[in-house]
Amino acid sequence: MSQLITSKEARYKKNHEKMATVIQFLKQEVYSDMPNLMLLLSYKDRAPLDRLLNKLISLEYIQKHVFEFQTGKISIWGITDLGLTQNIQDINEDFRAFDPYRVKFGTLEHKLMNQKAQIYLQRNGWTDWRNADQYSFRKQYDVEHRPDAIITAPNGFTIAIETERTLKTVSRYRAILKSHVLAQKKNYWSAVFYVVPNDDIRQLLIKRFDRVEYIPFDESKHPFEHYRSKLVRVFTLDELKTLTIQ
Amino acid sequence: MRVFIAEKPSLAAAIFKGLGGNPDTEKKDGYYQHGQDVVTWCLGHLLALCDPEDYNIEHKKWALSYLPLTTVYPPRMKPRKGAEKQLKVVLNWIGKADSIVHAGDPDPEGCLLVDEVLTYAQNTKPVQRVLIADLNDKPVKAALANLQPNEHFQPLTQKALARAVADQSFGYNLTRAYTLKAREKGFDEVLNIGRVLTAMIGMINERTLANLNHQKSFYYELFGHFELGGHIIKGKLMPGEEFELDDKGRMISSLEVAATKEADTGAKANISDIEQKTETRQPPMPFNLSKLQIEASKRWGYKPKEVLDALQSLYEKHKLLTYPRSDNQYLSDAHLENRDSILSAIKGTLSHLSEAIDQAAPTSNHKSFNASKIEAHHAIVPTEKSGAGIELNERERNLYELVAKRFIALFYPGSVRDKVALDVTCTGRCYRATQTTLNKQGWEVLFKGEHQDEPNQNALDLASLTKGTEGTCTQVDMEQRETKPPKYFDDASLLKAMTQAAKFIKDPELRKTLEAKDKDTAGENGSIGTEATRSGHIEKVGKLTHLVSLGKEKGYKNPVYKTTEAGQEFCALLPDEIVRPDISAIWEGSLDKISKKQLNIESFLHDVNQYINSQVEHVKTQGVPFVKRHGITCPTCQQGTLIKRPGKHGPFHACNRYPDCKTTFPDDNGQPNLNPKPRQNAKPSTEEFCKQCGNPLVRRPGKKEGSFWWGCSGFPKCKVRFFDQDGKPDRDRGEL
Repeated sequence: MSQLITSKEARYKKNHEKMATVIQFLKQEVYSDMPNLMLLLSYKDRAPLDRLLNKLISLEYIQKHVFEFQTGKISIWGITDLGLTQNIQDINEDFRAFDPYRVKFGTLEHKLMNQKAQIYLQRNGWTDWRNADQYSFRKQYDVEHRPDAIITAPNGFTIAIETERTLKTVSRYRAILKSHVLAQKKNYWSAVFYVVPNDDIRQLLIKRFDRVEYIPFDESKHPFEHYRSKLVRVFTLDELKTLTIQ
Repeated sequence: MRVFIAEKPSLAAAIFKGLGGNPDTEKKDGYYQHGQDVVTWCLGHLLALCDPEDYNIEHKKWALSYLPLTTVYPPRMKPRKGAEKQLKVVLNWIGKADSIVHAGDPDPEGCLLVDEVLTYAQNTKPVQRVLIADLNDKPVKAALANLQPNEHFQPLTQKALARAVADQSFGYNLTRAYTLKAREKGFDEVLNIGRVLTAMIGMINERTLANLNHQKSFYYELFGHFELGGHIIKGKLMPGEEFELDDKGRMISSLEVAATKEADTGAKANISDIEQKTETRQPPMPFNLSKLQIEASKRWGYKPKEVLDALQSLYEKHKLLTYPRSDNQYLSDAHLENRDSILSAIKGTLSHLSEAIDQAAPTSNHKSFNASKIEAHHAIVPTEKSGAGIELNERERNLYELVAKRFIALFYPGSVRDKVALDVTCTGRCYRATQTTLNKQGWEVLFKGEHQDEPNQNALDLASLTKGTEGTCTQVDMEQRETKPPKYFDDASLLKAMTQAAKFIKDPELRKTLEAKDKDTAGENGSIGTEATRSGHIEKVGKLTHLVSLGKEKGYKNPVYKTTEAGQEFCALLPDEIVRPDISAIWEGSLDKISKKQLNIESFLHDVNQYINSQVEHVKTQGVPFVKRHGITCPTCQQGTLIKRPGKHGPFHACNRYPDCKTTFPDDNGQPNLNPKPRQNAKPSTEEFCKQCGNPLVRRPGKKEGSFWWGCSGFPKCKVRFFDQDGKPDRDRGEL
């Protein structure tokens, strides 16, 4: 049971910090849903978060949107143009505002899972999460295939994160892995972590990787199998909660 | 009367000269005499250890029931065959002497060599010891003025004696035990087991297996081309630990290499370091026997034994080279003083070296001139005798020239090279370009064309570039190479391996012991055998054809040693410590203690005996795990096995139950040809005769059925052949 904060000033400060955390997160991520935001702020209850979000909506920093998919309704909170001007940390920030009409079910689910991965890793001491869809990322890293994000592990290595809700074809993975091999050789990041929802998909993904067998360079095939362990790891989302890196 | 007993005639002559005598005029039959001083000599060992049958005549027969043969200590000695006459001379002088001076070589073997004769003569007269390592006049005189009581050297004698006795017992017991047991399994050749010999076979086997089991694989090299400051520089990638490397630090993942190539092509690069240094190569040390044998084998393919024989004749017959059985590569100051006369002697022998000699420096500070490093012998160098007018054969001349050039080289300056290493950093990786510029050729001019540097890869002078220059990588070349299996041993590499046998020991403690043996001998590292015996051992190994094959191999200049299948089995069935130089190392440790009086010879021999007994018992009860060698059962008697045997006209295969079964087959590439062509019973003609040799001609069937040809029955001496023409030799078409 956390202690109640008695000082009004401290309470105000705490509230401000929480708001800043949400704004900063949404600036990067554009939008998110209730479970992820609860996870971000480590809330067990949604009531205080609702209050916080409503406050932010009334400030017009964020907006709420409800999607109606065939599977049901999903409420999403996204950043507004005004929200983007808050809490500026870098003059070169190039974030985009939330535009509900650009969100599809697939990208939404993927994004939300990616956010979970980020939150879990950051809890374990990982830092400097960067989404790869930013323009600045594209400019800095010259790669054929961008991962979902990169993040720095507690031991200082940069790791690329790939969140896989669905599987791609073997030849698509071959191209993706080729891009990662090159990125590794260009010292962009030292490994790629694939994050999958559950163990079944993990097995399927590993099977796909097995079938990659070779990667073409210069019109000749180079065996990949041996190299894979140096490049790729696959984790389920649950494993990320307790992941420690030596 | 004072009697000197020298190890060998050359030493005797040197001592005699040192005593003021003249070896040329005062030489008698087997000794020199000058006043009250007599100098006689041994010819190596004059005595040999008695064999088992000398102790007990029954032991001549090989039988398991006699094993293990006990080691007799103190051993009895018998005159060595071929040295009886000189032994008589020496014994005679021991009898007449008032005092004796022991002039064996200053090493354990030298101590034993004379001491065993004194023991054999039951000498009671006072014995002194003179230590002469350098046969030049001055050091000999100094040594003669410094005689020491011989008792001080008893531990060394004990050490040599212990080694000899232990080796003999080891050889007799294990050879007989293993041979007899293997014979039960139908293997009817002698399994020669000796401490050094078996260790050699073990080394050959290890290498053979490593070669045979070698998996062909590839490794890769990357060469980057960088445009830096307007120049193109080519450098080789120095792979870091992030790459997958083999034990030699070579990249083995083609994927990684290809990816690196793609990643670095077009990437930014800069010169991160330029290192310049000069490299001076001093003239090489003069030769000892092993080094000379190795070199001669590499250059001309001479066998070690041939080299030793040629050197022996250069030493004894022509007197142009110094004592050849030396393991030392150092020279004394006397050699430096005698520079002029040695060089002019070389001039006399090989006139084409005059010019080179004229340009030699008057003196030398080469590290080989170090009297303190001389042990029993010094390095092999030319003598002061000119060989003008002496007819040398090709081998002798080659060897003399090689030794002479090495000596002349000592009076030449070192060669100097400027080396530049330039490191280019590209994507965090280091590419290195190197360049070597010959500054001064120095002594290398004597060996024209043998010390060429590889041409530099970059046309410009790397040293002219500046650190920090930035540019780009324009191109990366990826080269794929095949790994090579460990090379089979040839004479040269086997000799080298024998001088560095410690490498073949797995146990680090033991390895240290064997390494310690040669701590003072440069270039040797835990050797087995001695300088004088190594070529003999190599000859012997080459003759164990059932275990080791010596033959031409593709890709090798000289014949190589390989273990045969039987040899591989042989090594597999022997305990590791015998097949490796381990026993040598263990014994070397104990022998060292004997020479330091920390261990007495009886307890050492007791341990040796115990070891031998346990080994013999093991063989007796366990047998030898020999699988039948050649699986081919004799098709005639269905009992024996076919064995390859050497015949007058090459090898053939015979049943091992001969003379009970007389089946034989011709050899077909090492395998018996079980369906030989039936013997042609062509009879010599009674009418047609060869005009060359008068023997009758024979009409033989040709390859094509129904065709014939005529050959002389005097074949192979006479090779006359004719076509067949209607049943007669076609003399019109003439001899073929």
